[in-house]
Amino acid sequence: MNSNKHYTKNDIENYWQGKMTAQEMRALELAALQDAFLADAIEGYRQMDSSTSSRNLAYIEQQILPQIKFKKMWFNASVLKYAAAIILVASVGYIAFLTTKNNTTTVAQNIITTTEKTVEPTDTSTSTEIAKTENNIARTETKNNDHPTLAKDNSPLKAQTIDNENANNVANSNANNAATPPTTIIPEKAAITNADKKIETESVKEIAPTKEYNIAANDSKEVVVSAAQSRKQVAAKLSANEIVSIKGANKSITQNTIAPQLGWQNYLQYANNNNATVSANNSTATQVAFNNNNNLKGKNVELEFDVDANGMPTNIAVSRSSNDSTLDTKAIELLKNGPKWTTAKDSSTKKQKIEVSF
Amino acid sequence: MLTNLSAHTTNDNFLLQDYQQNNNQQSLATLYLQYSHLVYGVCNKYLQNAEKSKDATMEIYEEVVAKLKTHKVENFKSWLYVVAKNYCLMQLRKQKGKTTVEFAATEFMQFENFEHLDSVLQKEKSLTQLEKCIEELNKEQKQIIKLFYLQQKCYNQIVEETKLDWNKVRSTVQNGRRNLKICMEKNEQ
Repeated sequence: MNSNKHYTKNDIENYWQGKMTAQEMRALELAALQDAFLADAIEGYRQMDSSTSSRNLAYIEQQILPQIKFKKMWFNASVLKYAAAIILVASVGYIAFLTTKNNTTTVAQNIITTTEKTVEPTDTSTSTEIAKTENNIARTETKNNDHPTLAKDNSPLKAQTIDNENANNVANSNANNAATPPTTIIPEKAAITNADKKIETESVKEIAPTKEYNIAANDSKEVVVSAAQSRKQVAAKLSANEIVSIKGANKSITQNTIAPQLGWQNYLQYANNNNATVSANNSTATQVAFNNNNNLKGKNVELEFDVDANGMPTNIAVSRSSNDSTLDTKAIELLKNGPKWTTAKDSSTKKQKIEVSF
Repeated sequence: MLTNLSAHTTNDNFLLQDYQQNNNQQSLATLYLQYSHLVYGVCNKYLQNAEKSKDATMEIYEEVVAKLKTHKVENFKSWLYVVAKNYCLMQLRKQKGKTTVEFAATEFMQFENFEHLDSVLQKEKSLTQLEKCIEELNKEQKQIIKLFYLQQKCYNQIVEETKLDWNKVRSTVQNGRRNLKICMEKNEQ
């Protein structure tokens, strides 16, 4: 008998539904004799409908988790600025890419998809936007061979694109470009909507009609990833389009990435079942800390991996070793034998990193 | 209080420390969600209503967040149980004129440390003394304790065999166990 077993809701329901062997039932009864909390809970589930309790528990988890996410972001408002900057920089890159690719004079389609968020201009007749904040966060330079008219702004954050020969879009942070067609717009505000709250980045200069953009965050499966990683992803996406290079501050942002198929809670449970615990995110990485031995505490392994079509982690590589090959191997095995993952919505963000701490 | 320190306790402390020292809210949520199904079950036992239990489980979380700002907690799980139970009892007290729930003494006896007895029973050590103590139990307790501990049957099997009610079987195991503990301790001295 293992009196330390962590009994889940399913265990308790299986008990009442007679889906356990007599031995398993007795083990649970013994555990309940030693644990009044468990004993009370078992009684509480006696008359309960399984689907109702599943639904309610899922709701509770939902209520508790996003609340934290919001608070975290609210307290660290600068994160939002970085996020806004990177998103908009990515938007510019994407538009420039569309322009180049389609060889058109305007970019009429203004639904701009970034790696993590969707920017929907309220007026679809516009064609290009670019944003900057006053913080020195990211600098985007679009190289162009034909029209080397490069305008600069005094703001520390610069996002500059230079039109190529086929595009009329010149996104310029300076207002002195009378020759620029009215298709160029700098949004006055970038409003980020998350958890029903709106946080506005500081106003930026305006060249053409003011537009307000809502960036709707899909918050259901967000995890915090390191800025280094997200920059890398953005950079990878953009460089694939041969457009921009990005330099950014070393700060974290949130974005959709791949996540365990059954949710993080389930993943934590998996770790738990291996006599380990998964600690939550820290600010710089999706950190998974398996603490199963105090002597090993404090050793970290960072793993990088892809997710295949079946949701299994593949191409697992140690991106930062603990300098102990046994631990590295153990971390890989925990990941490999663990629950499945979902791929990110954007197929270009396939790489995922986790940090395993012992 | 429960003194059964498990691997979970270590992990709980790790998460709790991360919350209290680094204000990592995610750690507290993770910690709470490990036990939310138990909190929910406890609430349902006392409140007898799924919706109320759902709300209570979320409100208890808020209470936990607030209390942990000032409280130092040694064993999170035991502490959470007390917080959850007290919350439910308060809810019941608010419902004036409604059913009073009777808490049998056995409900609270489980807080005592039975670890020693359990290990004795499990390992079947001190058999002579144990057998003597078992014989001293009343007829019903003797029968059921023997079935549960010596023949290792589960409550349902005991119900079948004795035709007693499930709750009766459980409380008899609890009471018999308590009497055995008293008897064994008396003889140890």
